[in-house]
Amino acid sequence: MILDPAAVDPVRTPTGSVKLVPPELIAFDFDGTLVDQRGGWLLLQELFGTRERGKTLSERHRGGEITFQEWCDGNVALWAERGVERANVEAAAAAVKLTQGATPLLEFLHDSRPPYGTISGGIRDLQTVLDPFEPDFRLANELRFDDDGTLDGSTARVGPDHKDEVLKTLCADYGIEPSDVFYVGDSHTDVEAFEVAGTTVLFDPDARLDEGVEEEVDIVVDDRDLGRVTALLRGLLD
Amino acid sequence: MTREPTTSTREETSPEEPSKHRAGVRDATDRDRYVVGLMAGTSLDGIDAACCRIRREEGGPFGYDISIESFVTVTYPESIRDRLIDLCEADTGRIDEVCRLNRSIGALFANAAERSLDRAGIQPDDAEAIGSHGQTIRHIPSKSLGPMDRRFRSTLQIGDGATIAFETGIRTVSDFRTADVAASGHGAPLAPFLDATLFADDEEARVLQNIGGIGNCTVLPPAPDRDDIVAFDTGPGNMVVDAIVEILSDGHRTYDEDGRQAATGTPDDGLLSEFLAHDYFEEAPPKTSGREQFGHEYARQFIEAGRERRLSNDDIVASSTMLTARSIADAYERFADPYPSETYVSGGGVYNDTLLSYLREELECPIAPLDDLGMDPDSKEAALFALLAATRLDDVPNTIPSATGASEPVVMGDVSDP
Repeated sequence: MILDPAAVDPVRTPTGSVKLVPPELIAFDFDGTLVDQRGGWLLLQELFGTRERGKTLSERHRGGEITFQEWCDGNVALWAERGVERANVEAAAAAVKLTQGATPLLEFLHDSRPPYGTISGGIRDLQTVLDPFEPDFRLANELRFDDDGTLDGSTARVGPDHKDEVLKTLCADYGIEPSDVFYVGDSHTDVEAFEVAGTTVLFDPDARLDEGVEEEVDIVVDDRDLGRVTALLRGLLD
Repeated sequence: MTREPTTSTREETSPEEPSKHRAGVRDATDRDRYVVGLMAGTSLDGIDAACCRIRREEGGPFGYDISIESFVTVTYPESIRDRLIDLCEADTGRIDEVCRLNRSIGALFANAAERSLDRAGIQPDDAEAIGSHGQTIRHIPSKSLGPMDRRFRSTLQIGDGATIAFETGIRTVSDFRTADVAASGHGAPLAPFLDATLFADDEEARVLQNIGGIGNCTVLPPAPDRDDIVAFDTGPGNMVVDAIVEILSDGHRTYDEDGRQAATGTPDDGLLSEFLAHDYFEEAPPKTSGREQFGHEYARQFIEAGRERRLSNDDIVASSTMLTARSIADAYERFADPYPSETYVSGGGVYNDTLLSYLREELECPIAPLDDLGMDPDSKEAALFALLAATRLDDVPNTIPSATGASEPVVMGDVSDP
């Protein structure tokens, strides 16, 4: 399938016409892509009143003082101090809304052959909105609770700059090459995945995205409607 | 001209005695009636509509024959779904939205009913009734303190029956669960009534076992009476296996496809004994379970206990798969009287070959997919509400108190005439 940008406005192909091939695996960023809220960690920091102390942790992580696992555990410790329990996180998850056009997209993928799922630097526990669509994989960081529902730790799986490695490991598990992957993301945490995936879609680009990223992807969807992505995938898979 | 829809509520009658006061109800015995059943689940995806042909063949609560003429699913528009999600949340649900959506959803239900009739080639004038479950926006099975120091359960479904009746021109029965709740029941499960009607056998004891996230079963003795039927959650279905696979694969897999990973491992009896000692399995029905008991935390504990026993990942997945099979078998040993001669399985678990092979090992009766009894499991719940509507119009009590915990059988459903 040759994608002619003029024919599918408002989808853009920054590098000119793009030849698309049916993917063997379809992966999405979660925050800001499949759902409206842009960051799961940020959401919980704001909800539980730890934004400022969370910023300090982020600075220490960016400065190489602490690992990503330590950054996750540090945030969790701040929430635990405030008495956050599983029910609080579940309530936050219930407020997470799918992006416009996500429901038909996910229904289509649920009924399609290639495995699909999320690669997210966010929090797995906030992805319950996806449960009815039964994604095949969910790579994200996870909160841990003890028997009585008290927050007591985290499992770090996807760091902010590691989606390329995560995607390669996932592909090895499924016996395919990263070039067979169709990847959709919206922000700077997706740049590494854009570099290795076969077909890449930048969806409703985050304002904080560095200039030049658009030149690295195959397709840009400017309006916030995942129906554009559904149309692309239908063209490839139907 | 504007027609004013009318809603009649149930009249006080003896539970097993037909009302003498209901006008316009023709004798339903030995004639085909077309009734549309409508169901919308808690996932808020949309509406299932089944146009059913129903014949009352004999007296007694389960003397009905049902066949499905058409089945359609209508997805909620995204804007409606978003509003429903807000409405279902304690923090964001607003009474004015209940009021508005009650009407809007009613119109969507009416549309789904019309589509199913159209698909079946049945004219609305030839349809006797619509049975609409509505959309649950609250179900509060724990008792709250009410007036006179009494404690009450409560439930609320929206999707106005009068709107459905007016828009379709078809008599509509709605608001089913409240009657069972009024009789001190949980208002759930209601499916055992359909199970008894469609699947009970005169000679053989049967169990219908659904294996979704949670396992649940309906135990049907031969030619059962209402009081003989037992229905309850057996415990974990796929929920624990799925969570374990997801944790062990670091999110790479969310389920064990066809039970392949379990097939390469060996269940560990010690681990199983430890986890089958959970209080839930000993508790007598009626009982329900969910993610609170058998969610990710339970899965993590299972993995940790497996690690302590030096089990491989494959052995842990195999053990969790066997946990589902053995908890089902144990439940039949404890609570199925008489023990079933045959078990019919539905739900996502039927795609897990290893689980089915374990179930065959553990049960002392053959198992088969529910499809073998001629019912597409996807359309079962919508068909249930067609049956409940027909029984409501016939004044036949349509609950199973042994399953819902109600004090007595009642006739569920309020009637709205067009």
